[in-house]
Amino acid sequence: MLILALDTTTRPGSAALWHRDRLVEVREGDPDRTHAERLPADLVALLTTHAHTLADVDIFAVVSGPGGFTGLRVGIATIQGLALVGHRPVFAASTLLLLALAAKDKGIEASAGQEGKGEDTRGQHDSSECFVGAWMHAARREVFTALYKPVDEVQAPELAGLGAEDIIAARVGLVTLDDAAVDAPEAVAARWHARHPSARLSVMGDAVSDFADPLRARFGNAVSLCSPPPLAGVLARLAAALPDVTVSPHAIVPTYVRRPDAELARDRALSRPRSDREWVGG
Amino acid sequence: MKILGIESSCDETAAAVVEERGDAARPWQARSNVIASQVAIHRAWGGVVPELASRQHLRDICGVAERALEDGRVGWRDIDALAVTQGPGLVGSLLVGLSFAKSAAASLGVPLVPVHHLAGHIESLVLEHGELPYPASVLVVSGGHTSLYFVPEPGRYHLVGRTRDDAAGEAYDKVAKLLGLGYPGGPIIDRLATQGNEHAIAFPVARLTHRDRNPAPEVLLPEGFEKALQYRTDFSFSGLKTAVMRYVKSRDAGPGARSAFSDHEIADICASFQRVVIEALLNRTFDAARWYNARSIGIAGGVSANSRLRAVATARGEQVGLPVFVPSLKLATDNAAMIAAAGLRRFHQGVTAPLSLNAHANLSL
Ligand SMILES: Nc1ncnc2c1ncn2[C@@H]1O[C@H](COP(=O)(O)OP(=O)(O)OP(=O)(O)O)[C@@H](O)[C@H]1O
Repeated sequence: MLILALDTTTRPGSAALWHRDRLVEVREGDPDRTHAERLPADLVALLTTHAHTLADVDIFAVVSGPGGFTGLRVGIATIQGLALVGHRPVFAASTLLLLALAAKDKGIEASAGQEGKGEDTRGQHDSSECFVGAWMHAARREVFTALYKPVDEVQAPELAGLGAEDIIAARVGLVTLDDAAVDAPEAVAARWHARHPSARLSVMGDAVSDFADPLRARFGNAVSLCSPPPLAGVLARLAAALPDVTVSPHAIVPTYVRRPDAELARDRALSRPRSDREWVGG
Repeated sequence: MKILGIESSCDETAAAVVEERGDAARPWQARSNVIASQVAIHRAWGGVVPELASRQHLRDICGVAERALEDGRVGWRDIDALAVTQGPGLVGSLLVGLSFAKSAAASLGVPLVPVHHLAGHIESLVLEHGELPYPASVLVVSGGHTSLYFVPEPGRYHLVGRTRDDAAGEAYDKVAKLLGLGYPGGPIIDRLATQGNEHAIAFPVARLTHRDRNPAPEVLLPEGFEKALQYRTDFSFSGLKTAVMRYVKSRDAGPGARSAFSDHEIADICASFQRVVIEALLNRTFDAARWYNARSIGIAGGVSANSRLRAVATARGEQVGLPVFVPSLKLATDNAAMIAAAGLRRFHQGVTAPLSLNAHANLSL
């Protein structure tokens, strides 16, 4: 099975190729050129390096957001064009879920490494006790976030009626504790802490380096922060594990999280007392 | 040759299959022309909201493209090239169609032809009527554009005038909003104006070009159209919009003024406003035709749907012996058949795009 995965939710973004049972290559993009300029040439180049063509691809995978709106749409429209013409299914997962998954996998690796050293720390670092979160730049001094709880894999009957994203989360053993959100870092940290004051957190995302002080302030040593790997690789691996959870290219649902400014402005205007209201939409 | 056109420059997601007929006089035929309009979404806002438009394009693009193939009774493998609007337009909107078209072309291994949206509007006339008698004086008039082109021969376009502020369609939309008539304003004002007296109110005509005060020679050719191009003839509609606003205010009516006026008065305002717009548009289009010795007049774009504009243009054409061409409604507003047609034109001029093609909000023609 050949899977071509694309992430355009950050400036450089990334592309990855999965063949049979392994991740063949993950490539980061050139942050000095826009996604529109680089696509679909970057994808074709990645395939060519490994002697494949677009026609060989069995599943096209795309990160559905959140992230920069324009990059996000360029990525999805690119994958839509490839999948529609090639009559291939699409695997789509949100940036937040991929970050949480990467954080979870990293935690498992870490505890496996420690076991290897003969130090049994599972008592304190039981991965089921450690929540995993996503913490991404959202511009405007805000972050895109979500918080999950790792669980044992959820069984099929419990998945009935769930959307694709929730099915994917459940199948990889993640249950949502705090929904995808965009907010000031302080606000999210406060909310997470209010709900889970004694939790340990493993949080991943590109905003951990410069927007995570509120998390440290609330959770102290109980939070571990890590920078994300290129997400196309995480996505390709996930698509390979769940090749049955694909959708048609028409049905990709972008995960914007942030609502359009026009709607936000309208809601603000409507919530003001009537006398202060300006004409909206003018 | 069959080409798939993709258009997403503003608030319509469109795809169409156009094929060559092998007849030089009537070169193209649309096999399909699918348009998903977002008017219902933007109506609530009184105008196009770019972020909402981009989001909707992404929802619609796959279905619209598939439907265009289905209606045209062709499969992907029958498509020999893709044409896509590169600009001008809303960049977020343009990028959806452009990214989709680039990857579809890459997947099919066929050429991609970048098209200027206004070239599409101009070629909508040829798609509908066959090659025009050239040279032609072609006015493209829509919600986003009011541009006058001299077209000396097929596929060559020289800009000879454009609006310095609002586009004519935009003026229709803004005046309709001011009067509380609804969105989009063009068709509503068109309808109401038929009931009104177009001389009821003397709204001003903008005089802003050199030639408005110093008439140009009657015929500038045979000195060549390059010389004639100096006599650019621009448009302006914001003064007119302001005049309507002042008129409405003089009656103590705020935005959405409908209730302050009787139906009869509203119809008079619409008719009087429309008379000034149409005069401005047609004076310049016919002046340009005279200067450049044009053999035909074309009017394309959303506002060309205006019934009064069509009637007055045709009558004036008859007076001076110039045929006037306008597209049918389906080809007048934004559509992809015109983009496909312009794409075929450019393809035969040797223009194709690399996969690095980017969208340009202010692309010039
Ligand atoms: N009968 C009419 N009379 C006057 N104006 C009209 C009429 N019908 C439509 N219009 C105007 O045409 C415009 C829509 O044109 P069009 O569909 O070409 O879309 P647009 O987004 O403005 O196009 P473009 O991207 O080419 O600028 C609107 O401003 C609308 O009010």
